[in-house]
Amino acid sequence: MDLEQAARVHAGLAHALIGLWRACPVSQQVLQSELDLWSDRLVISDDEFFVQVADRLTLMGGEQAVIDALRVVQPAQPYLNAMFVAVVARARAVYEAHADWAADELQLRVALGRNSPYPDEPGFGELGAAACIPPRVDLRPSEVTLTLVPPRLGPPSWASVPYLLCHELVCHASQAADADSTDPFTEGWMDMVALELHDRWIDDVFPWDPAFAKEAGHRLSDVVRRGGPHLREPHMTTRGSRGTGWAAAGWVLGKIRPFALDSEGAWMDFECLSVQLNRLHVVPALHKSFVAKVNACQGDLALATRLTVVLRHWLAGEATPAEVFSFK
Amino acid sequence: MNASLERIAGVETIKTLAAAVGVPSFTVASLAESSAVAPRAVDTVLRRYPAMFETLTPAAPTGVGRPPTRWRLRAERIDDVAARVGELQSALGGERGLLELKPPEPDLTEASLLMAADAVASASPNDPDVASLLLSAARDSLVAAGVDPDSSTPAEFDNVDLWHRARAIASVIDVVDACMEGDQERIDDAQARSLPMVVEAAANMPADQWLPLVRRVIEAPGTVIAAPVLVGVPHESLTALFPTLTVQEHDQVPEGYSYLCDSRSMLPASDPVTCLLFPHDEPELEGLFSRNIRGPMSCVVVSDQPAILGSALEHGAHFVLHRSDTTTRASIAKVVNRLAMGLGQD
Repeated sequence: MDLEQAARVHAGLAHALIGLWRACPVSQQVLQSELDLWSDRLVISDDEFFVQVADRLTLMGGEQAVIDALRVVQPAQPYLNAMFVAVVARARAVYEAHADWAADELQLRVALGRNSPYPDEPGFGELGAAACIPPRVDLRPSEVTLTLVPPRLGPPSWASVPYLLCHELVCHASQAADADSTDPFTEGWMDMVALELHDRWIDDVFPWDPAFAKEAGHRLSDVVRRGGPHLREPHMTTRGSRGTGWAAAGWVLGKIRPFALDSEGAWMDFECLSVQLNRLHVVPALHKSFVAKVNACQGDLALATRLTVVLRHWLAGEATPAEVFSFK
Repeated sequence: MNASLERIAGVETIKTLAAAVGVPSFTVASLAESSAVAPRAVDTVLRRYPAMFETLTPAAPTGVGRPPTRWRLRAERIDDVAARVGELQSALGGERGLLELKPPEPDLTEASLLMAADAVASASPNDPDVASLLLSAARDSLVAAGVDPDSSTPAEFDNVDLWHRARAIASVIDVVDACMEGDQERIDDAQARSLPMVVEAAANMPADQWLPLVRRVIEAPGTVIAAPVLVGVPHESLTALFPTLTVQEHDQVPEGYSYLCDSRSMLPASDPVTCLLFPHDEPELEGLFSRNIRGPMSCVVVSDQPAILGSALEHGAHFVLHRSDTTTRASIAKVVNRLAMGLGQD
């Protein structure tokens, strides 16, 4: 089996089992071993793959519901296309509501990899998907690249695709600053926004099992912010940047909350501010300076007070997003 | 009021004013709770700054008794309040700990240190506007990490490793800042102070993080020779360039050579020692190498004759072209310091 066929059948299998995965621990282990064998597998047709896996599960005592599900596997590409279209539409609506959307004619490109790009130890069927927006041409991103890694493409990886798409489309598709993987604002602060929007959209983006996708998305978002001695560069710094961006975003949301009628109102104000900030044409170094300054507020009451004043002015329509960025 | 009471009053005022900025309106009780000060302290602040506050028109009471007065900051005065908080906090000076701010979560501490290191390693004096932002990011990241590297002892911190890392990063910030200013004395001072801190922090950092920091320090155009050097006697050429080099006693110094240390260096004198040669011409250089005086030491050849380069490289030595004294000083110091840090050639 070549990589392309492996990706196709593994994706189909993953989608077919999303509603059953959590309830079938025996099958999880068996299926992961089946995914690992992709390069040695001899199959002629996709159907033959599903028959082989079903036979293996039967032999190893897998749950009957899983075995039955493998008899009616559909191609996964239409589901992927539907997810992409749904997230693009919603991300665009958010940006157009608060600022502007800079990414016309977006397309989804699927790339394949043999090894997971994550340095972490995965659970069964995890960490088999990643996404990025390649460097721009003419300042307009034209595609989102979703990389699928067949040996890790189990249901948890498949269910994390909505989060990956949300991250790319909310954080990066319309970011005005140059791309920088260590940018704590676009990678961290906006990731917090992306994850919240992912949760709000998930019923429509992944209707086949929204709860499973929500869990998978949160799990992946946690992983890519998690530090640890196992990390080497560039992961060490990129994860640090995500962590600091998240912390800064959470702090500012907390400062906005008292001035809103309720939590939903606070979120809408925060979402608006975040999108407006992300649309500002600034250098990544200003993002780093801003996020660091926000986090420094936790140790400097005078600085925290000045930032709160700027936020109050912004909420009252008296300060621009640029003035929020350059508070000091 | 004695100084201690004044400071307490100042702390309570800072907390009260800062808390008032953070809410659209408040009662004395609610502000006291959110700012962690006594209600009478809130009351005192309201009386002391009457122009900054106003009462809200109360709604018609629905229950028994008078409802508490609701206050808010006057919208046109919130900038003044922020300024006042800043003045009062500055007046606290080194006693900002009296504000009893919550320390950061461990995850944020670690992430902030990573960001500080990355920011300062990325700051290049060649792009001063961006470098200025990155240095600001680095300094603020240290504050966010909850570490004040100016603290006198690591014993004040639970995590001594963290203190060493923060101190090293702060010292590199000073080096880069000095380079941007272009003040040679400040560059030398910052580099001399930073090198031992960065060396000490090596045990507390992965190499991926440590190497960019030490390179930032080494690449600075400083003139401090951080490690001992061996020079042929007479060594007027060297002492003319580095008046702060002084002869030290040392075992196993070859005949005709002196062991010198830079008095400005704050690194303890130790191996490796670098041999500096100042040949007048190629034959002299060949003669020096034929006597094999340097043994396993690294060797730096300094000359105003480019033709000597080939011979120097053939013998595995580094070469510094003596142009102006200013650039040659920095070049020699950089090569010696790179070798002392085990970074090898450029």
